Formats: sequence, structure tokens, C-alpha cells
Amino acid sequence: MTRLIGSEFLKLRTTRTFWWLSLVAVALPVVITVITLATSHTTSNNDARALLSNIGIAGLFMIILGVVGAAGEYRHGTITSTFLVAPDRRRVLVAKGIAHGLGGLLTGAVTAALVVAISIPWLSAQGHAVGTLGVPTGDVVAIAAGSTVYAGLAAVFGVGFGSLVTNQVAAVVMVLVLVSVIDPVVAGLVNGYGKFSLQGLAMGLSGATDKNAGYELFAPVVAGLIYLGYTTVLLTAATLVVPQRDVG
Amino acid sequence: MDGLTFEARPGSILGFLGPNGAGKTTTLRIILGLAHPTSGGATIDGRPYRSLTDPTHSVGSVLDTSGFHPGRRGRDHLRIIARAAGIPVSRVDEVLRLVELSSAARTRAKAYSLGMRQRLNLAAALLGDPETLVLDEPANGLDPQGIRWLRDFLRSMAAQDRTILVSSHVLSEVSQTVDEVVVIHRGRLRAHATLAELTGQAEGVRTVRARSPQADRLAELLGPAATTAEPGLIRVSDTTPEKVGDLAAANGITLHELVAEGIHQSLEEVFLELTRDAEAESP
Repeated sequence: MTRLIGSEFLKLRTTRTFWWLSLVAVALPVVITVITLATSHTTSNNDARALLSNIGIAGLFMIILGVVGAAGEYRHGTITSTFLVAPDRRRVLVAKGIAHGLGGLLTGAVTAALVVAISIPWLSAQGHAVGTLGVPTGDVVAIAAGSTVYAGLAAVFGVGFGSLVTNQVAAVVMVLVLVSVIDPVVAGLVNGYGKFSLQGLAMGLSGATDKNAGYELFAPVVAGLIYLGYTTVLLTAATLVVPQRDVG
Repeated sequence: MDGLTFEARPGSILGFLGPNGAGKTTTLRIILGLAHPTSGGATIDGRPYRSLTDPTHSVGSVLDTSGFHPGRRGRDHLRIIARAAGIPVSRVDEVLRLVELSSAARTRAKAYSLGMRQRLNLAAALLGDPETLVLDEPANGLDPQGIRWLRDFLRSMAAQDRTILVSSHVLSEVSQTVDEVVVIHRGRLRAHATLAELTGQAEGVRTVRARSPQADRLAELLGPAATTAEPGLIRVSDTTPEKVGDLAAANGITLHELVAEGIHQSLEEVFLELTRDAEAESP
């Protein structure tokens, strides 16, 4: 298993996809944070939490990373050599999930470190230390950790999705439409669904407030467990479908 | 595939032939556990591919000329396979040298020519130093030197008692390489024979051409099978170069030339004959 995970890591490292997606995943939240800090005054607890929960944006790119990591193997035909080396396809799926999950965690951690390192001193300089805005140090750590975990889980979610929908272009489009259109629209329309939605769970995990979301959110740990549940369902479905598939 | 059964043996090269669309690649994919037959199965050393504990060391395969991420360097492609199989990186560089691809090892795969991709695939197949090689149209995209190199390489692998299965849709491409052939068309077995048997099947007789300063004496010994084509040259029907050569040696006759005639053409004829209705029925 260690060998397979190592191999999946090499796959990530040896194309530009991972580096580019991770770069964007880190850069976008950082840029948004900087713009927010520079253009508006963060004066409330709500503002401060919203600012920090920008870290969670990295997760969207990690979903795409996972989708491309899984469906891309079918697109380029590398799935053939993958399955020739490791005929037990369920193990391949698990190894791919772990490698992408760790890749997502790493990207999430870098994003969290940068956003926190930029916002805290900046806010202090503006005279609003996060502590005075009602965000104690413990909460800052929780937000950073939750967002990081979200980025990791999101990558695994993407691996599950891309293993089921193996047409890479279709898979990326579908997951984008799901995450950025269908899911938030349904979350806004259906009462009580919001906190179970992908967006609601992501916001819950990255420490956003109910007010930021517009609906009630789960506590980070609960949101994380539910998201883990969704991811497990997707990966399990993949372990049932993928071994039956004819490849090539 | 319909009722197709055959076996490849250690130390010999089995040619797997059929026109395009005959089901060669599908068969190879079933052997390698990549596709599922509706019934039946394939085993390697008595075990289905998917239950091999260390497949990379048992079977090496080349399936098509794609199968690379265009943005990944050739050497990295091999490192990924090696890592999964627990093979050291030193072996990656070794197989790259073996297929003469070291100079392009750090080039991204999208810049590879068809022949280079074929060599990279072969390098991947050799990583685990496997006992069995399964190669789908390995000569595709190779230049004449490459084909010659491949032929010599496969012969040396067979000489090490490895089992080699090599597919092709062109019989002449493999007729100098293979020991035995399996011919399929439309998923059915049409022939499983040695090259000699296959040739015999076409002509009924085989002709041997012998040139000798003692041609008349040789013709006398061979009897009615021998006809004198021109002074010093005889044609012998229904025999093999081995038989004529042995006979000449036993009688102290010098041979300047001993050739089995028309094998090449007749093999192509057999092949076309066996696969003819496939051609006729294709649109």
C-alpha cells in the first residue's frame, strides 16, 4: 500500500497540474484576503470570521485536483499501466484517495498559514486585533485547521467523483456545476438542507458563521464528519464500479 | 471472442495474428485482466493476471502507443510504475538504456515520436524483468533499424526461456521473429501452427533450391523430387533445407546455396486465405 501511495504522489508531482492548481488554490484566497483588508474595514466578529474562512476557497481547487487526478488517468490512458502494476483496483483507489487527500491537506495548510499570517498583523495594525473582534486564538487555530481538513477531504471527494465519471472534461464541468450552481441554489431554496449542502459543510468546516452563510451551519467537527461521510460514499461507490470496468 | 483457446510456451515466440478488428487487442486485454470475458478466462503460469502477487515481475506488456501523460517526462512515467512495483530507480535508468531512450529520458512525452513512445512502453514492460512478455503490435512506429533491434531483442529474450506473445496484423512483420503463430479472425481461432506447418498448409509442398558444383550427383540421390533448373542448380519439392543439407553432407557434396523457396509469399497467402472473408465482409 505504501508503494502505491508513493506512486500516486509521484504522479501528482510529475505533472504541472498539481502545481498550478495548488498555486491558484493558495493564491486566490490570499489575494481575496489582501483585497478585503485593503478596501474594507473589518470591524465585527462576523467580518473577521468571514475573512479567515476565505482559506476554504482552496478546497474548490482541490476538488478539481482530485477529479483530474482520477479521470485524467482515463483521459491519457495511464490507467492501463496503473492497473497492470496493481490489478487490485480498490487498492489503487484508496492509494489515490490518500495521496490526493494529503496533497489537499498540504495545499490547505499553506493557504491557512499565509491567510492567517497576513490577516492577523494587518488587523492589529488597523486597531482591531482578532481577539478584540471576539475571535480568540483558539478559534483562529480551529478555522485554519478546519479549512485545511476541508481542502484534504475535498481532494478525496474529487478522486471519488473522477473515478465514477471518467470523462475528464465532463467530470470537471459536472463537479463545477454541482458545487457552484446546483448545490448553493438548492441550499438557498430548500429549508434545512443548507447545512448538509457541500457549500454549507465547507463553510461550517472553515469556521464561517450562520450569518455569512445565510443559513444554520454545523459545528466544524460535525461538518467534517458529514463531509467525510459523503466522500466515503463516493469512494465506496467507486470501489464497486471501477473493478468491473473494462479499460483501454 | 468466440471459443478462442491457445497457449504460449516458455522459450518460444508466439505470433498472434489477425486483421485489424479481429479481436487481438481485446484478447490481450483479457489476458492482462483489463477487460472481462463473458465466459472463460486466461491464466499466466496457471493464475489469472488479477491474482498475481507481483504482476510486474511475471508479465511485461506493451498495449498501445499511447498511455502517457503528455506533460510528464518519460523517465517519470517509468519511475511511477517502478515505485508502485517496488523496483529501484536504478532499474529505470537501466531499461531506458536498454531501449536506447536515455537521451530523451527527461523530455516530456508529448514531444515523443511514435517510435519513442513504443520504446518507452517496451521499457515499462521490461522494468520487472518479467518471465512473460505480451506485446501488442510492438513494431508499430519503429523504423527499419528499430524493427531489426526489436527482432534481435525478442530472440534474445526467448533464448533466456521467457514466454513471448506478440501480436501483429502483418504476417511478414513477424515471420522472421516468431516460432509459432495463432491466427484469429472475427474472434475465432483460424490456425495455431508452427511457421513451417503454416507454410505447408498453403503449398502442400515446400520447394528447396540447392546450388552445388555436384548438382547432378545430388539430384541423383534425391530421386524424382529433384529437377534441374539450370546447370549447377536444382529444385527439390516436398522437402526441407535440413533434409537436403543432411543428405549432401552425408555424401560429401559441397553446397553453395540452400534455400527454402517462397516461404515469405506463401505465408502471406495463408494469412490472406485464413482471413479472407473478414476482408470481404468489412464495409
